[in-house]
Amino acid sequence: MQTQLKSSFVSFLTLTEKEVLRFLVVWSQTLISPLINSSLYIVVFGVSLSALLPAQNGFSYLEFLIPGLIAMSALNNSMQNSSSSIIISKFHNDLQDLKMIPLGPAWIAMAYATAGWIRGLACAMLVLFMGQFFLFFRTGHLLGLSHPLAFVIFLSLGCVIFASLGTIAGFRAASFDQINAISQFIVLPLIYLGGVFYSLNVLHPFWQSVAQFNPMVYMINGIRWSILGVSDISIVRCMGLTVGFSVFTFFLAWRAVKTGNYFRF
Amino acid sequence: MNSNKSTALRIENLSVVYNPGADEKLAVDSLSLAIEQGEFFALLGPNGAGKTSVISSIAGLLNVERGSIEVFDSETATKSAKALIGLVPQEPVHHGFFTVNQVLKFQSGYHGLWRNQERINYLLENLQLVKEKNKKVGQLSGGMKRRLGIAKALVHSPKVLLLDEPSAGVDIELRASLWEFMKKLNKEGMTILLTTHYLEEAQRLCNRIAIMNEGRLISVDATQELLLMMTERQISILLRSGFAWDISLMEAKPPGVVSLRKEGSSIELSMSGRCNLRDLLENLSLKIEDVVDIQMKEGPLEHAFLKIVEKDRADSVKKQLR
Ligand SMILES: Nc1ncnc2c1ncn2[C@@H]1O[C@H](COP(=O)(O)OP(=O)(O)OP(=O)(O)O)[C@@H](O)[C@H]1O
Ligand SMILES: [Mg+2]
Repeated sequence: MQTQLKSSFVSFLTLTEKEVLRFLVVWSQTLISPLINSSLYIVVFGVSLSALLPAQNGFSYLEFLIPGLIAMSALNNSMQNSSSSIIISKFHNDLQDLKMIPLGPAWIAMAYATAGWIRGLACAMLVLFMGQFFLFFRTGHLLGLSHPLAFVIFLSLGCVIFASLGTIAGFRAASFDQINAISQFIVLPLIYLGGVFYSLNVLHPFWQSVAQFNPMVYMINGIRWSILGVSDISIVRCMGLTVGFSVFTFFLAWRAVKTGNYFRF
Repeated sequence: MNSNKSTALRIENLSVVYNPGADEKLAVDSLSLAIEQGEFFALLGPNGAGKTSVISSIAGLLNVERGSIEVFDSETATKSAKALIGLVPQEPVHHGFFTVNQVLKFQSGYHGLWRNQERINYLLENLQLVKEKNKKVGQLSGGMKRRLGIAKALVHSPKVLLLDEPSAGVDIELRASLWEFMKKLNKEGMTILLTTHYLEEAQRLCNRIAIMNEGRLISVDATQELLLMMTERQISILLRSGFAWDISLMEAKPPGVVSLRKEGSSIELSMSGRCNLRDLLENLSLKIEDVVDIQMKEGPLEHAFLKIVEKDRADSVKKQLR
């Protein structure tokens, strides 16, 4: 039993390593391009338009925006990591290797979650540095972390949730188009409308209550709260729901690995 | 339990159906087959016969929904069965991002082997991939990719090796060394199941041969037996010099003889089925003193294969007409 566990663990580490190396090999697409993307938001909204945009929750717009962009980049990239890797593997026909190795579906789902988490954290750190750079350049001060432990937890759970969503999409999808559609029409709007660019308080009460149904709201708020120390929503609720989502999405990812499609399309 | 020989693969009543429902395709039809440990076994059949479907089911790539497959008493697709099997798939895989060595390291890791460089080097050497070790897989030629696929299937020293047309696209020289290596692995105890369209390879390497057509197993035989029963043997009888034997004296061809001619001082004939030498000589009105030498050669497997498949086709047409 113990050797079985050890063997599974080695196998899990290998798959994780392979997934991490994969995104490092194409670093310009997986790390730099998201960084440029976030930097553009910082430059356009946080720097150029900052004077026109109202302060949010007592912070300058740039300060408010940076945590939102960190969250957006982390979530988006952790999802991209597993979904594109799986889809490309299907295309290369090597995804079927995973069906022939003695590694259980939970381990496989965990390896994709771990690799997505690492990519998400890397992207978050890059955006954090870039944001600090612009903030310092404009104001001469840096953002501190109000709740460092909560920052790590929210960010990590958010990455795990999105990496798992990517795993589900990857195994269930039958083409690149389907993956793009999921990301463009479902996930990105939810992230954009989840409070990356504004505080929910500025919304009409009706839209505020609609926003409660968007799961991204809780992760984004949690991450912003851990940096700035302010939140639109009760932080306990954010944490509870985020933990709940991560369990739920991981379960679905496990199901997708167990029953999903490994073959070339 | 038999101590020295055990069954490596036991397939019982396996059926494989693609697209169940309206336009479903029965690719494998209630196939049963047992392969003993240490066999070098060929699974032959025309395109679309269902060979890859059988092999994919054994490897756990396809879920076995009808029938059962056991690999050394472990049900297929379980962890213990997966650890015993190595598959070289028909379609080579690509792994564009990584080098040959990395791919083999990952494959070892997948099987729980963290340090496996010694085995990897051994395989690279035997499959003539040493020079390609640090090349990206995307830069390999088709034949190199196929050899990488073979190395991948062997990193964890499986007890059963499934080869789905491993020699397609591999050049002549390398093919010879590839088969030498496979023979060596087989001698060391590895059970090998091979599909190929190069029938002379199967004839030379395999101790038993199964033939499939349209999803059904239509023949399983020891290679020698199959050739004996299903091909025409070429027999050449060298006569002592000065002995006059006139073909025109023969009233009819002796039973079993398909063709007969005289060439110089030897008689060349081909026969189907078993051959009783004494009867043959008697039928040719030859005495043993008149004969200097006799050579017999089985016909090529190709002939047996075509005969069996054609007969099966004819039978199924008959069945449909009935
Ligand atoms: N994914 C699939 N979906 C539907 N039908 C399939 C699929 N794969 C194979 N088939 C069909 O099942 C039958 C058996 O195919 P299989 O690949 O097992 O044949 P094969 O004996 O390996 O042939 P070949 O010598 O060409 O490799 C064929 O009629 C094929 O068209
Ligand atoms: Mg095939």
